[in-house]
Amino acid sequence: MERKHYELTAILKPEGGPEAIKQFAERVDAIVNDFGGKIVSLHSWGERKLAYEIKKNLKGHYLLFDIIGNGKMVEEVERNFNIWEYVLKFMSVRVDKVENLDEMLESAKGIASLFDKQEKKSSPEQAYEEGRNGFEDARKYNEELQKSLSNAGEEEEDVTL
Amino acid sequence: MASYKKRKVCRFCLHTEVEPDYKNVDLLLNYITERGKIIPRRISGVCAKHQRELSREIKRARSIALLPYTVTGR
Repeated sequence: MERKHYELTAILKPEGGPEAIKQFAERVDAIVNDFGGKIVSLHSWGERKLAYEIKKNLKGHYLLFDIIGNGKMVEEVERNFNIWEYVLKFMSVRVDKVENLDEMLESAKGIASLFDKQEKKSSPEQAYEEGRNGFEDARKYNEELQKSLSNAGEEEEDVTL
Repeated sequence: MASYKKRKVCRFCLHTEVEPDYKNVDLLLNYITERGKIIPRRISGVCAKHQRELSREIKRARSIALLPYTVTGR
């Protein structure tokens, strides 16, 4: 069977509370299982301020799913996202970098255990670091970069944006 | 000597452990202006390959409201 790694980000209406989010994840899990796929990891970034208004909402609850499955499965999940009115927006991205999918599948436990784990709050940056397998210095690098950017002022060309 | 400009090196080539990623918002914030525009590589010094990746990831981040499309005064 065709198998690929997908990252699915969904923004939910914040009103529902934790119960609605759990229900939502379970519904996604059900669809994924129907297509023989598997949710490898689940990140909840909690309630975040949106960079712009979506359907009159200024805040949204972010969920990031790492899913292994095929394109048909993603199609079906996206179709459902369009129907469920508490999904404000979503995006699916295929991860093309070389990975050991078998290993990832093996380490995947059921949706329930994923939920225990996501009780501790995560952020997009944390999800990014985890995805990079032990690279924990992304934040530090960011800070260094910021510093070097502010120091770089003298050597910058004089271009106004 | 006064007009001498130090050649900028692409930061992503220097630090291969970091890649542009739409989830790494803190990083992407360094490559957009206050108005939300993508900074051209002639200013940031990023190489062509990484600028392509960077712009793709910034656009992804925009589409899920992690980054703004525009920032207006209002």
